[in-house]
Amino acid sequence: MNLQFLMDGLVVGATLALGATGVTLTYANLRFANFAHGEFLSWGAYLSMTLAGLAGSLLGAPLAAREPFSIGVGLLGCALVAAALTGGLALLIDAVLFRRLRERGTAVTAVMASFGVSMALRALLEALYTTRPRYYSQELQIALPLAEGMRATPDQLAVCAVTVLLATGVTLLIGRTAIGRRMRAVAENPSLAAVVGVDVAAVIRATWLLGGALAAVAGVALGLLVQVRPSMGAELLLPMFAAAIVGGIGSVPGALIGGVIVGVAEATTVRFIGAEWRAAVSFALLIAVLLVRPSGLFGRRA
Amino acid sequence: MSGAWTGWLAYAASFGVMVLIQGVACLGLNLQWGQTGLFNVGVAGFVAVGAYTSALLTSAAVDGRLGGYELPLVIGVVAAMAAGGLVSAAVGALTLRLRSDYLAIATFGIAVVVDLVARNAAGLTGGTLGISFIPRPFEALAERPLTFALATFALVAAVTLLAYLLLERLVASPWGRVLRAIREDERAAASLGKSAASYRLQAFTVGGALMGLAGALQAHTLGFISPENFAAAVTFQVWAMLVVGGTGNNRGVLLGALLVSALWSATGLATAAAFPPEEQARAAALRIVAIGVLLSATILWRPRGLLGERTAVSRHLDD
Amino acid sequence: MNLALAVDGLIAGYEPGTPIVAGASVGVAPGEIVAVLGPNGAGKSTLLKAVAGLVPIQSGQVRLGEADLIREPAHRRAALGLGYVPQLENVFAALSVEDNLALAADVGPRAGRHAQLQQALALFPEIGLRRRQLAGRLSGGQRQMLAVARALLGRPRVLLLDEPSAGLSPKIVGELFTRIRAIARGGVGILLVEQNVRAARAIADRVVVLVQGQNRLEGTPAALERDPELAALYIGRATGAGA
Repeated sequence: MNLQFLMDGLVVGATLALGATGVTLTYANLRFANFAHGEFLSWGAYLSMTLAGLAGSLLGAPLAAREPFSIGVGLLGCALVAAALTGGLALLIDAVLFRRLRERGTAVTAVMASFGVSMALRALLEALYTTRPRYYSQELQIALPLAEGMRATPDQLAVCAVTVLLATGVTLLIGRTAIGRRMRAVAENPSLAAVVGVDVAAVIRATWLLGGALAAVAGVALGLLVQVRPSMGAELLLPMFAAAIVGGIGSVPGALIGGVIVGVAEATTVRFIGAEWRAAVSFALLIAVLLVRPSGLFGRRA
Repeated sequence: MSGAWTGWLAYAASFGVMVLIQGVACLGLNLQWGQTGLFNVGVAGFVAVGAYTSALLTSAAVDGRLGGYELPLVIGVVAAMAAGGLVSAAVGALTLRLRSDYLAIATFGIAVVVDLVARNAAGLTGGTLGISFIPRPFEALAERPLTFALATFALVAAVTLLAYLLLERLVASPWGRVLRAIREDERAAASLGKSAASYRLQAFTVGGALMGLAGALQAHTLGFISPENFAAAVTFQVWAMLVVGGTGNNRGVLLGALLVSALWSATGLATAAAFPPEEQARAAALRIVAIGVLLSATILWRPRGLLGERTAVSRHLDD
Repeated sequence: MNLALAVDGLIAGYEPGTPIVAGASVGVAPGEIVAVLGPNGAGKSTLLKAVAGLVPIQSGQVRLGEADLIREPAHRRAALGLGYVPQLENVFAALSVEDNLALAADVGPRAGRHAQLQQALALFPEIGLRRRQLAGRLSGGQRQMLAVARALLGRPRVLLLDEPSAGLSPKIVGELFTRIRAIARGGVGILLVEQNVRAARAIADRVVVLVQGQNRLEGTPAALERDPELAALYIGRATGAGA
């Protein structure tokens, strides 16, 4: 049997894993499901593209690609700046909206507010860039043969490598550093964290920044592998939620593994059932986990 | 009566039908969120379930598609409510015992899956083309547009009034008071134990049935449905109606439906006049941004909407 | 006298119209152990929470040495030298013992952190043996020790303890109180809530009795034990009048 679909699943799963990490962190530290998270992916992708365009016109030539990849160091730099900007966008929305809802103790309405934010952010992208799909690069890539008849393009391999790097980084950050320790403390008990001396507001800011930045990287990866569209992030929202819940909501390793599980399950469905049912896989996984083990693989309680 | 007048009146009647249909869906959402505190992000999905159910049962047979039983409209509408209620009950049974966000995520998932089925299961739903020639209640009057529009409006208004009166009675009943008690006070909910979960499930199911009803009304007034009628923007609009009109207040819901629909149509006319044809898509997106900002601003500055809940003081909506 | 903690005319509660602490005052000198007593619902725990910054204060004064705490958020109060150990959920169960301690140690200046940690562990050796364990796996007594040890790492001038003896066996309570006295001897002022005068007598230098959020009685534990009014208050609780 051709195992190519597993490779495709891993690549999609890598993107999902980065996105789901942000979902799970927001959920753990702010205690609400952020329906606007998908939009951070889209904004990251568009910001990156716009920055690359700006840099290109400043230099007088489009950013060069570095063989064998279809993009070069230039776009990578733009992606980093876009990640910072997307984190900033998340912070801005928090300052204008979510923080005020928290201060009033109306956190329940935060879910609804995030739903409104997601619609507005997506529509704003449509107004700015139209719904026409765009691409970072028009170059065609030749897939390299790997083991067992599987093939992957250099870009796909690069996305996987970046994901592994970031996943390791985030896991170490959460598990081994002072800010990670504070995040875990706030996730468990914000008022106890405060009396121990943790600046909860600063931890929440760090959470938005990290979640937004990871989402932007996921968005650039998705744009690189597929295309850049205003609805690209929103379409990934359900898979990201599914990944976070499968892994156990609040758990970063869970979100990473959940992302890969959802990605591979989607690819399997595409291979054996049909591409049009891809989006149903997340829902099926979600329902299965809620039926069997609502706390997910690594979660403590639901 | 002059031609301009009849044209205007017919437009007003069809606008009224649209307002009332979304109002019915919004009444369902108000029972779920406003009265019981249950979060539904998949309103469009539940409306679609109702619309397709009734359309399949009442329309004429078409080659290569299931359904076409030409059943009476009343049966179609009742079945639509049952379908909306059933799907709600299933989602509720699965998620209501978990944290509230799981319900939100699951309802969001339902809407995605319903949309997927509507688009891809052509043998059931007609695919992206949808279902057309759905029987309309006053088909015989179709040659006289004004009479047709007014009769349709009167029927939809009667159904909406019925739903409104029933809900008002429910809200005032002991059942409604228990719902609010559960919403207001987690401890009260906990002391009710299992029966609190059952009350929540009942409210969620009845709300879903109302959304199914709204779907059936839409199918039988438009005469055709397609996946485009049930985009996520519908959920968004119904939410905006509830929040703007006044969460927890059924009259506020209907007021919100009118205001948001009016805003939607007015911005539509304005953008159509102000932007050249090639920029229309962008302008339409800006309308959604406007409603998103309106929704967020209302949550921030007027959390109870225009007409807040009259009776109980709602803790989760309080400043 | 220079007080380590001075609370004056404190009015505090979750909702502005209905104060739970309704004008209470209490002072703690450096090295002094003061117990707050009172029937259920007297506002004892809320008093500590308000001082720690977890319950909104409507009016009154809270000073830690020279510092005015009223406008400071909870985490700043901790950094200024206020330690608080809640009664329930006072450790991070999902974090290791070491991480629990490090959270508090991170707050102060970098220099001397290690010495501070060693000092705390010397006082609570049973915690040092379990540094890699999850705090959720500790026994009730060990959790209480960990919570106090963690509070010490913030280098507090005043320590607030909410019913430290609740749910612990008499033997463990004895061990805990010995350490608390040792901490006080080091110059830390201690304000603790206790359920009854007997527990308070075992540890406190002075007792303040709160009723309905206000000071009712004050004195040494021995003097109060003989006070008929105090006895009446506790009988009142049994009949429901003191709530």
